[in-house]
Amino acid sequence: MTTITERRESTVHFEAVVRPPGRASMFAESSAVQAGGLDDLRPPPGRAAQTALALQRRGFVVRHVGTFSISAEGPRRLWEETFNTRVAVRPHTLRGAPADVAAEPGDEVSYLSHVSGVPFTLPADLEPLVERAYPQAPPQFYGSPLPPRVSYHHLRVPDDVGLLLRACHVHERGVTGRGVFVAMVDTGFYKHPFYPHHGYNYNATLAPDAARVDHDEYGHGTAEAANIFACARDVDFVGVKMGGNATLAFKTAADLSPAVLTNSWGYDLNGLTGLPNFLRPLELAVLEAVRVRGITVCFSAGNGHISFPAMMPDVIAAGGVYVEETQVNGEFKMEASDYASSFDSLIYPGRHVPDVCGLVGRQPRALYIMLPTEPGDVIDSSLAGPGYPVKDGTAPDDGWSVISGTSAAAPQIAGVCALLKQVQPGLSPDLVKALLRASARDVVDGKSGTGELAGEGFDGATGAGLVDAAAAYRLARSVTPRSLHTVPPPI
Amino acid sequence: MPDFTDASPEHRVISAEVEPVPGRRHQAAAVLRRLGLRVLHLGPTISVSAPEEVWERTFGLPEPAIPRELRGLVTGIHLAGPPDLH
Repeated sequence: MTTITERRESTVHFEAVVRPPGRASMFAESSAVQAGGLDDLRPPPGRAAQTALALQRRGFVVRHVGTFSISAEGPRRLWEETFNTRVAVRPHTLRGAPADVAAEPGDEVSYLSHVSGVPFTLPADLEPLVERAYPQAPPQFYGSPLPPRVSYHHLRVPDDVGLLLRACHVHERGVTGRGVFVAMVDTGFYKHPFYPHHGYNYNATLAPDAARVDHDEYGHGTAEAANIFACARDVDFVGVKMGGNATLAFKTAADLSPAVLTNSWGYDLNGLTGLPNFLRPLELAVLEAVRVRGITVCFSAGNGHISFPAMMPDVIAAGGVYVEETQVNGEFKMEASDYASSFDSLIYPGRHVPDVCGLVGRQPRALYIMLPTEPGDVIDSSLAGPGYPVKDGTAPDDGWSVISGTSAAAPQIAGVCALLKQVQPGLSPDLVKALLRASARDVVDGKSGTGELAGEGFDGATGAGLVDAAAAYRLARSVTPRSLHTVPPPI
Repeated sequence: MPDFTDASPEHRVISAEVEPVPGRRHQAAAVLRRLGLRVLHLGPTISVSAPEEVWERTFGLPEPAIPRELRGLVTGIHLAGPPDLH
């Protein structure tokens, strides 16, 4: 068996197209391939086998006899003499995850390619059988559904994240977010193989000012969405790709009327005591989503930012807790993430951020959770390479990056919200937040990225603490939502 | 995030949120369209976009002012800035 890195410089790997009947050709501009029917191009019975035998007689090794083409290979000199042509060695950089254990992304391999402009002539014995033959270049490889291995402590989705947030316990009871619609606004949502391989219902749409729905040039949304499924594997998910106007993307998502809407972005309002006018429309859109539409809205608290809209009292503000590899008395040691924000809002009196926390890494770059990205996007390429904790140890175009920040925490918490909404669809956004706060695990060590300390009970750095999906579920299944409108007004 | 900094003024697209006077958002949207803006979303606020030259001509930049045609229909025009990704 020849692998992608072997014998490329001495062997021509090619496809020989078996000549179709009559005047049909798969190379014609209006061929049946474009028209959708293949019968016109199907060679007469036996012709493919005849072609394979003819190639073998000339000394080529036939690897596969297909309906329309023969896969074969042969020495360079045999190819050049048979077809009275010339090939040249060309370099090729492997991208993605090559299907060859001997190869690494970024490796350079060589292959033999036809020299442009040089004649190619079919010999008399092959002419009635073969329409054309083409040397084959090595392909590019796209993101694998399985992440690469790195040597430092990190979490993987879905299992590690689901386990540490105790969502797995809830899944075992059949509560998986099924029937709950979760939306997310972010940079894009690439169809990474990770999502279909896990059977997730992962969809993307565009804000009206965005383009290229199948791509995520930055990689942020594609990565962070995996955190939702780690906590609620059966949610119905739609990612809204933002264009130049984040408010418009948020409104587009709210128009879909999801049960939960999560956002891993915001505006840094450090030092401001009033909301800038340009953010009033976003504030209004968030208020409408929560108060009028009943959508549970999550925003990340920021990574050292004083972030809006996380500071709005109506949303669930997601902070960060770091869980270590080591266990103490059967529990993993945990502390406030020194990468995540915590603060008292100067704009909304009495409001403290965060409400609760998800899993977030530590300084300097919070490289903590292995997440899928579009191969070669900004995140994938910029973090790649050796040198942890500054670089993540993955390849620049393998479709995987180790990242976190409170961008990871918000979708994790959104996933837990989805579990609660499955149990009790009538839970109001306020009640969802109250249940998360009441059931969170207290975090007593560490300090946040903005310098506040963790401690007993509700604290500055982590709010109520790390979200506990199992405990929140137990509360949610027992609570009885009541509409305020059914309560008689005070006399 | 989209980056229009390399685009020429006629190709540089600017997005904004427009605050309508209560009860007059449909009239405001119609005038915005007449002025050459794309109305992308109509809700409590109106999302619009237009090439930079349209903004310059109609509202002035960098601080857009409400033109005569929109007086009595809108109370504020806010250019959209890119958020921080967390």
